[in-house]
This record gives sequence, structure tokens and C-alpha cells, in this order.
Amino acid sequence: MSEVLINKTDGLQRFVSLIDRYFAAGGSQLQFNVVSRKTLIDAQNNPEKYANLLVRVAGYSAYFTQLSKDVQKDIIERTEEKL
Amino acid sequence: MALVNGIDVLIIVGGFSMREMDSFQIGTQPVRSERIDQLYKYVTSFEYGICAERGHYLTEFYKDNMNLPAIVRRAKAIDYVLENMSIYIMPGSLFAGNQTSNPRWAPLFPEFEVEWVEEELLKGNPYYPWERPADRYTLRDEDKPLIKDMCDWWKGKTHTDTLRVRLPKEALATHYDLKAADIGTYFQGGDGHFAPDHEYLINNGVQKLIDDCTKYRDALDWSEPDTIKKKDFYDAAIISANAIIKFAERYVDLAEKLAAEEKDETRRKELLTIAETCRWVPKNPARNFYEALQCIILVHICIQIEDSGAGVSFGRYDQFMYPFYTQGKKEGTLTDELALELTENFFLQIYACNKVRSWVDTDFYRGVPMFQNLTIGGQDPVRKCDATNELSYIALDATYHTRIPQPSLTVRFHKNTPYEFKIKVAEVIRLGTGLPSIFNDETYIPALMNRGYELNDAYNYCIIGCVEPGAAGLLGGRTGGAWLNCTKALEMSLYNGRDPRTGICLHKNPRDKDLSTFESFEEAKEAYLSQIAYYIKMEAILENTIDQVWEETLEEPMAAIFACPTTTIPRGKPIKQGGAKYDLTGQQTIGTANVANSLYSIKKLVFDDKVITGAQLKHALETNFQDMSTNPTGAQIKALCLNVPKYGNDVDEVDELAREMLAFVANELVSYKNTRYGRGPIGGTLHCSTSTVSSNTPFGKVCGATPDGREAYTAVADGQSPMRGTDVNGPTAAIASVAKLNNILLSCGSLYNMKFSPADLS
Repeated sequence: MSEVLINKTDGLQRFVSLIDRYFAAGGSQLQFNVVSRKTLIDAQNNPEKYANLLVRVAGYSAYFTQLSKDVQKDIIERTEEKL
Repeated sequence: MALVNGIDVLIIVGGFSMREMDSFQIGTQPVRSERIDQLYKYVTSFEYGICAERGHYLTEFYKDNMNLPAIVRRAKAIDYVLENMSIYIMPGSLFAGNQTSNPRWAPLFPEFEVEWVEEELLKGNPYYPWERPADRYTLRDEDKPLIKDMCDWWKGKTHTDTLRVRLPKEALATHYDLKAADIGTYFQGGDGHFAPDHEYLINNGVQKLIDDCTKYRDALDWSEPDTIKKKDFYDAAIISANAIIKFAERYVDLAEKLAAEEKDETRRKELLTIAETCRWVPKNPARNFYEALQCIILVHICIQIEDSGAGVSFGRYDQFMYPFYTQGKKEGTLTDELALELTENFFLQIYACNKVRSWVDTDFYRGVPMFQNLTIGGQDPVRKCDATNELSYIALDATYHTRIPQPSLTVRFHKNTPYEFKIKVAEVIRLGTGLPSIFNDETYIPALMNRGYELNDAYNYCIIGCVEPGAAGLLGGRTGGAWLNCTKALEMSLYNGRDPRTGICLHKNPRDKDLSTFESFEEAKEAYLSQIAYYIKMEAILENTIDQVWEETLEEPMAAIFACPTTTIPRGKPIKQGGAKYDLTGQQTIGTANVANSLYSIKKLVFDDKVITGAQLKHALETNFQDMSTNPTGAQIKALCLNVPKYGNDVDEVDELAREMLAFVANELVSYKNTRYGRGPIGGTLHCSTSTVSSNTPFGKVCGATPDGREAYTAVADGQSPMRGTDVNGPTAAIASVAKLNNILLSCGSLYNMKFSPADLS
């Protein structure tokens, strides 16, 4: 698998390979946040600039700046995986 | 981004701008038609608000009609609401159908509970909705007397009032005091969580429901003892079906009136088309793509007005709409551009729906979610081959360009999903709105068959609410039920069943031992399993008592005939009496990662490596790792706990614990029957999901420090994801761990959150 990952240089292809791998191994469901920690922290500090920024909370998406501070913290602290 | 002469200039790196590297949402602009752009701006210009109309008209009707049978009373009350509530057509929209007096304003449902409505909306305790720290809603001053009136009348008569009397005290303490399980949503509001049979309704029309109900009612034999209940059901069903037809006719009148006043000739014609369409659907079978969408919208809106339940979902959009799409293309009346615009218009129309929850319940549902799920992709139920089509791509484009959180877009993948489609899905995910989420047919289909689904129905599943699978038009029961706080059960197992926060002890450990006296890891594990089994039983009591009270007082005729018309009508039974083909009560298991990691810490530190004693660990947890006078100190013990390998890193020993603990919950749940068992539906039990919503933060607030090194009162892990920040060996190791769980047992859905940096997906 890591070979497949390395051979695919395109980010989207690597991303699709990861999903395929998870599902082939018996995984059921995946959902994603694709946003940098920097953006989220900037959005926390300057909510007016990020009014339309959507993020995935759990089985749904919501406007990041409208979330309570503890949920914002939870999303910021999630591990940022590297493909 | 650099500033040159005061103008924002994007620096392009490797084909992507720096802004895109931070967020594709911020770095790219959506492409929208003028109509869609105008509608987007219109809908999003409304702050969330509360509308008193639904609650007011419902109360007005109930006051004078308490003599009617419960289901007939409910049908007529909703009919009365639909006759009297304000209606409008949004500027530029090609569709009619509104839930409340303004976009994104939420209706009130006093029949479920008025305590929080009175405390919060009228007294500001703990907050007025417009002064909340988050999830704010406005309220018009003129609505406040109406709300006071509805609270005064409903006090003592609501669903919650009845539940407080009917539930055993242990179950009430589990929910209210311990928060070992939480089911507040279904005290304070309706079920939702189903996918109506839109395919049947657009192809048959609501008049067919009336005709069928009339036929069955006329054939009833009055000497049969269950005839009176069936007659009540058919009476109510006919009232409800007529109610939606009359509701559509109100839009005919409104659209004609607006057309008469309209100066712009194009818009005038559009309004007349709306009038003509609402005269035809939902009463009659839809004749084209456009009429089918209008039918879906009106059915959806009426369900949202009858019941406050979230998670009312649309089913497999690209499948049941495809015949209308191909017909339109063939006849030359539909282009891909028009299909996209109509889909986007439909998305914005239903995005205008909203729900308001009590402040306590809001903690579990942060960010005003509606869970109006829409499924695309997957396989053909008959031919068992890939079912992706042009509409699958159109739905993805609509999500990409509307950039709104509703509908929650779901994509089904299977082993033969076209690569091109997967790349397209990845592109939409890269935008970073969190949509769509992806589901694996190869586990979801066997998971459903394991609960008794027939093969073709399992292949035809859609996603309901967050992550819950079900066959549209065939599933009763709520998919999202109580939340189970596994971390709380784990914590109580360390204190011989006592909750250190409240001092309450409902169930002692089997050997009357605690963390300081366990003699082996097996005893620690046995204690946890005994606690979680007890609270699963409490969960079953909560679920079933709610359903029993519901059946007696709240049964919903509209949900019955729109959700499951092909079974409720022939059987003469609404959902809670056993009217659905399949009926399973969903639930949501939270904190698997914390349980596995904590048990593994105990195993490693106390029993395998004997680094610390159980008594030392217990003291450190009781003092939240703060006691610096011990040897080792609290901080040192916390470090030891954090250093033990965690679920999410492809470490078999701890992953196996996660698998075993989650499988235990799933199997235990299925051993409990729901109130429909043996009354018609296939299933009739509880079943397990790892859906979380935002419950991991409020659940964390009631849990003290845990042996995984988690500090007291901080959020627990979400879904079946590794505990945040503890999956440190890269995504391949993380997915390997999560895939080891027995996902087939999660017939009510799996949830795994992953986060990537935009730069990584360039």
C-alpha cells in the first residue's frame, strides 16, 4: 500500500487511494475536514473574516465561527493527517 | 497573499494560490447562476430565528379538540397549522414551500416540552436564545404573548411531563443526573430520522394514498377488535393527505397573486409555472423533473412541520430522479445546466428549514444541524452493478457551488465505483465544507442483512441523518436514538459503580471492587462490561418508554403515510404500532477510544508492567492528576498514562480491546426488543451506531479524569475515531486501527472523522 501511496504523486489520487485502502480493510465510513490549523485559529480570532467557513463537526457540517468555543477546540485539536 | 497598491493579490504556488493552500473554500469562488446567487444571498441574509406560528395554531386547535382520538387530533391540528401559517415564495426561487414565516426560522413544538421554552424564551434562564454564547436565535416581541399562552396551556400535558411519571427513577437519573446516556432530544421533540418514500410519492401522487386509505377503511369489519384503531388511522391519514394538497393549493393562490403584481415578464411566467405545478403535485404523479422536485419539497416541508425531528432525509436522489432526468433530456425540456440549477434551488429551498433546541440539548447539536441527508452513488438493487449516473455528478456540483451545509451529501462507494467518480468526490471534499461523507457498500450492505434486511432492500440503502443506513420508504423507528456515554460507564467501573461527580451509585461492580482492589485486568474489564451492560439496559428503558408514550399520544399520520406508504396503509397501522417493513431503534455509542485506551492503560501500568498500583492510579484520577505530593506525582502518572500506546496507531493489543468493547455494546443492544417487536416489522430491536453529533463535548463535561491520560471534564473521543491528537503514526496506521473494529455490527452506522491539510490534497 505504501508503494501505491508513494507512486501517486497527485494529492487527490493519494487521497482516493487512502479511502480505497480503508474500505478494502473493512472500514465503513469516512468524513473529512480539509482545513489548516492556521486557518481555524485565524477564524477563531477573526470570525468576521470567516463567516462562511464550513467545517465537518460529526455527521454534519456547520459554520465554524458559529460553533461554541469547546467544539471549535475539539476540531482544532484533531490530528492533522499527512498523506 | 500580498498587498500591492491596496489590492489583494494571490501568490500562485505550483498552480495553487496560497489562499487555496490554507482553505480551498476561501481560495476559490463558486460558480453560480444569477438566480442561485440571489437565492443564496437571500436565504443566508436571515439570522436564525424562532417562529411562534406552528406552536400557536397547534395549541389553538388542541384546546378545543381534546375529545378526538389522538391520531385524528394530531392530523387535524397539523391541517389547521398548514391552513393558517404564513406562506411565502422566495425571490427568484422556482419552487414553493416554507416551514415557518421566514427562512431559517425554527418552529416550536410545545406538545413535547414547554419547560425549556418558558425558561429560556420568556425568562432568559440560562440565556435568552438571542443572548446565547453560540447557536443564537432571534425572536419577535409580538410572538412572546403567544409563546406564554402555549406554555401555560401545555404545562402538565406534554410528552416530557408524561415521561417523568412513566419512567423508573433509575432511568431518569441515568439521563438527567449521571448523563451515562442522554435522550433529551426525544423528550423535547419528535423522531424525524427517516427517508420518506419520495420515489413512490412522485410516481403515484398523494391522491392515491387517499384512494387506498378510503378503500381499506371501507372494507373494515367492525366486528374485529382492532378495527377501531385502524379506522382512526385511515381517518387521520386521509386528513393528512388532504392537508398537503390544500397546502399546495395555498401556493397556487399566492403564486397567482404575485404573478398579477409582477412587473418582470420572465418572473411573472415563473410564478405562473409555480402555480400550475402546485395545482398538480403532490396530488398527482409528477410529469417531469421539475414537478418531481416540487413534490419532494412540499412533502419534506410538511413532515418538518408535523414533527420537529431532525434527520428527515431524501434517499437516493440520483436514482429515483433519474427517469425524470432522462425523459427531460430526451424530450429536450431539460439540460444539464437546468438540472443543476433546479438541484441547487432545491438545496437552498430545504436549507431554509430549521430547528431550535433547548440550551442543554444544543450542547449535543452544535452548529444548528438539520441532518437532511441526500444520498448518491452506490449500486443498482436489482442488477447489483454501479448506479452512478449524470445526476450523481450534478448533485456533487450543486454541493460544490451552493456551499451550504444542507443537504448533508452522502456518497456510496463500492468495489466497482468508477475511478473518475471517486476523483470527482475527492475534489468536492477538498473544498473543505465537510461534504460529502463517504460510505462503504461492502460493509453497510452486510450490516443491514445481519439485521434481517432482504438483499435488494439492503442494496437500496440510503443514509439517514448523520451516518445511519436504511431503506427509504421501508424504515420506521428513529435511526438516531439515545447517546451512550461509554467513558462515563468506564469511570464508574473504577469507583465500584459510584459516580464521583454526583455521588450516585445505581449499580455496583460484580465483585464489589474498585480500581484500588481489582486483582487482575480481567476484573477491571469485567467491571466495565457490567457497568456498560447496566446502562445499555437503562437506554433500552428510556427508548421504549418514550416510544410507548408516543404511541399513546403523539402518533403521526403524515410521517406514517409519507415514510412507509406501502406498508402502513395495507396494515392500517402507523409507525409506532408496527407499520413499517423494517423497524430498528437506533442509538449512538460514544467514547470507544477512551474506553479501549483506559483499559489498556490499566492493563499495562497496573497489571503487566506494575509501574503503579491501582490505588495510586485511582488517587491520581480522583485528583485530576493534580496532586504533586505523591510519588510518582499526579503529573508523572498522567505522563505514564499518555505514553501507553493508543487506539489509532495500528497497535493490535489496544485495537483489539476497542474492537471487543464496541462489539459488546453492539451485541448487547440487539438483545433488547423495541415496542414494535412481533407487531409486523422485520427487526424490532435496538441497534448500534457510532454517530456522535457534538455529544462528545457535553459527555466529556460530566466525566472525570480517565486512565488514558484524559483530564477531567474535557471532551471525550468522537465517533469511532481515535482520541484526537493520539493517532500519531500517520493516516495509514490510523485507518488500519479503525478498520479493525467490527463494523458489520454497526448496522445503525459508523462515524470516523479525519482531518487533512489543504496543501496535502493539492
